Amino acid sequence: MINPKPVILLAEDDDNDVFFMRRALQKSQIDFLLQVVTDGQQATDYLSGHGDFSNREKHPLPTVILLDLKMPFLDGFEVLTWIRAQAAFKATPVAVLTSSAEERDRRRARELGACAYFVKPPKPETIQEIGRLIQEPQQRAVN
Amino acid sequence: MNRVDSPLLKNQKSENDSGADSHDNDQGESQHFVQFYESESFLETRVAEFISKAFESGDAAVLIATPEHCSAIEKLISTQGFSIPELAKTGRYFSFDAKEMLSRFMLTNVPNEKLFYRELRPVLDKATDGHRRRVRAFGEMVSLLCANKNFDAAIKLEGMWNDLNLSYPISLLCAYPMKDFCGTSVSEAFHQICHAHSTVLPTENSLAASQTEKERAKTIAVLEQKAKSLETEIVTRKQMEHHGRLLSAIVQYSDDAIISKDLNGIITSWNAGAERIFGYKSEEIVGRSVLTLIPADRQDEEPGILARLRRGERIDHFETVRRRKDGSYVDVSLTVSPLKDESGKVFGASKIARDITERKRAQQIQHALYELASTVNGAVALHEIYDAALNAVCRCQGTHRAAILLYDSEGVMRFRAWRDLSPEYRAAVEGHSPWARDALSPLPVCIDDIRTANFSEHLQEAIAREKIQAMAFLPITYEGRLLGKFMVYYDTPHHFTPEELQPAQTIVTQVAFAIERRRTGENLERMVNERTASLREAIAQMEEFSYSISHDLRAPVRAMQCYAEVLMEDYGGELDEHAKKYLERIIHSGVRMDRLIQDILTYSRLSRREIKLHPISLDRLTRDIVNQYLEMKPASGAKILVDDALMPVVGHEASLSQAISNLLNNAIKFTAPDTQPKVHLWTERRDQDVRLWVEDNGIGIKPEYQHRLFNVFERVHPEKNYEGTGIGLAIVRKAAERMGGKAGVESNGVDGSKFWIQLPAAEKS
Repeated sequence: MINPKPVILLAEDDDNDVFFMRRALQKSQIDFLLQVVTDGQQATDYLSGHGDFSNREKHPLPTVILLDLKMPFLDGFEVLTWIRAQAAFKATPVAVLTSSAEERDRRRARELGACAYFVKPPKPETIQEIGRLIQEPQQRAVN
Repeated sequence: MNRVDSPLLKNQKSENDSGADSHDNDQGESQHFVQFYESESFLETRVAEFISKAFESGDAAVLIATPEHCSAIEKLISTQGFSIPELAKTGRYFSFDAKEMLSRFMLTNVPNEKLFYRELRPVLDKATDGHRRRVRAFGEMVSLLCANKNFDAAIKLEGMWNDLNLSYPISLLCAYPMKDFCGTSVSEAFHQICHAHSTVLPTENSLAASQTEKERAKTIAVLEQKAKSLETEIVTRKQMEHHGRLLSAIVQYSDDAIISKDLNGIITSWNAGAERIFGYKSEEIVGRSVLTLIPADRQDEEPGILARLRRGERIDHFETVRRRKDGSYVDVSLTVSPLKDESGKVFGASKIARDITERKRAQQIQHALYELASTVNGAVALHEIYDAALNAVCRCQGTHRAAILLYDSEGVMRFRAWRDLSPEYRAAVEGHSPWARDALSPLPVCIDDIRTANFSEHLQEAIAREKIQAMAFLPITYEGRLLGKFMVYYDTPHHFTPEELQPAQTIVTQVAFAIERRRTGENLERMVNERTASLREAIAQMEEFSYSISHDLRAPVRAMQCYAEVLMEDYGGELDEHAKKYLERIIHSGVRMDRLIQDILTYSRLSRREIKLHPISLDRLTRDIVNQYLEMKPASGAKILVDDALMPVVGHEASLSQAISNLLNNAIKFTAPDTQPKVHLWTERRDQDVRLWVEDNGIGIKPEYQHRLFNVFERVHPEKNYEGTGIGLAIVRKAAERMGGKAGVESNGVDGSKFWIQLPAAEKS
């Protein structure tokens, strides 16, 4: 059974940032289902349906993936690299959401195939862009 | 007359009556002839003829001649039908040994008149039979005197005969071999001798005796000329003889080998130099082919040389190699010249071979040293220098084995580079050294013959197995310190001399210098590498630190700030004004802290990031920044004027962009509250630089504060009035410095400020 709502998978180890993202999304017009994993390893487990994540009713495949860069086990870049190597997620837009405004991080994210690069905290423009990624999943524009 | 068979005499008889023979009938008149001759048989025939005439006409004859002439003449007279013993018995023929007769009246090389007359008068008295008959006399005493170069005596004796002629009816014939008058020095004597006679008879080879005085004189002149040319020829011959002796001495004692060969390459002569250079004795090699001297691989040189010789060409300084008798080789420079006979035909060759072994060796040494020097100067690695040094030593010493051993860190001498040494040998002798480790300025050790060396049995065996028979240990030292050794080996016993080892010593010095220089260089490089590595590490740690700050340090600040905002948004209505004001302060502080962190990150990134400088269009960059600013901060109401065509600079665009933005922000920020900010930007050429001016109408900075303005966290104005982190201008200065420029400010502290940033110009002035 396919969940009609778009699913946003957020990989984020900081509770505060999860709170701010959820709050920002709730304040927007987007109808969504937010799934949160707290490290890089969990992110890949979720996507490949390992263990608990095999239940796709409870853990549906995401429409958009938001990755923090600094995470335990696997960092955001490693997860991004892994995703881009999976044929199943070829079409799934991945955005980086980080506190780093550094150019080298921005460049690396783009090189590894991220569709968007957001600097925390999420601003109205951030949410607006996420909405656009949900509607046009093929869009690979990078900010 | 019928007994006269000489055609010349016949001729003389028929055409000339003033000759000796024509005076047969001259009664009472004394005659004195002189006959020059060249051949003995002519003389003998002539005299026999002359004497026979006397017997024919019943006269007497006196013969004073050498015993040889006497017997020959008597024999001839006998064949004419006259009996010499009979005539002698009857007092018509007298003969004397000229030499013996001469000795009777010569007193110390001068004929004595009295003694002469004492001897001759009695003879003539008898012969003339008391002046009753004529006498024909032939004498060659004068000739003997001339042969002894005693011309004065001869002339005097002729005069004495002439005196006798006055008192006796004598026909006297004198004869001189022409050879005695070859030479200008005797021409005067010849003259006088001719003068002493009434008739001069030329030699058998001259033209027929002249009829007239005039012709006679001519004949004499011809004779004189002949005498002179003979003299000249003798002089030339003597010179040539002398010359020949000189040449042969030169050839014999020359250092060079001087060899002659025929056109088949067969050696025809061989001097001492050739014996020295090639080792063959003359008797061993003359008659053998010159190919004997040519090494097997050069035998093809000879046909070419012979072909060129046959064409009459000369071969100059042809440098080649020849083989000695003992089979060793010698470097020679050959000069081969064709030898020609009188007709110009080439019949052989002279070959001068100069031993150029020493010169070649000197050249090789020079070349080897030059090559080594250029390698030492250019080589990047020590092994290349070792290689070049071994090459050079092998060439200089004429060997194929050499090695370089150096002390390792444990003080053991180990092979570093070698030529033609087996692994077994190297393993067996490694570590051996003739000097102590701490020997100061050790000296070379030369072993001319390994059998006489004082090595351990183990070493001796290894050396013998390697078939080494001589070796030299040359210490490699630097400032007296022993670094290792340079080995030179020979397969045969070898007599080492200090002179011979001179080039090798030079090579060793070069190697020592190179090793030491390389070691110093390597130490320095290692030090630089270590420092660079530690610096890199520090930079990497700094990067990590900055990265952490930008990720981790900002997170809690942001969280505080965000929660305060959430509180304000969600619960603002329930809070009183005080609470709201505090919340605003929290939010404001959070924003400020975040900006501070970001500025510090920018500043530190600027300090450490590697930047590449390029020409930048300052005009375009500045206008972009100004437009962006006006778009983002329309509320500032600032009036920004940029002059036309700002000059291009060389810099790093991101850093320059950051600096200009900061200056622009700065210019607008520090303006008095109710004043419209006005900013004017323009460029100015300063020698090789371009200075960008940013002038504002702000509050200005008092000169006494200006020096602090560009330091991190320095603020000249109270924070409450003008918000800022105090890092902006520090970033400007740091950026300018990183780009090879500088930044500064001019202000009187009242009428605004003029900030500037100066960078190298992109266009030449």
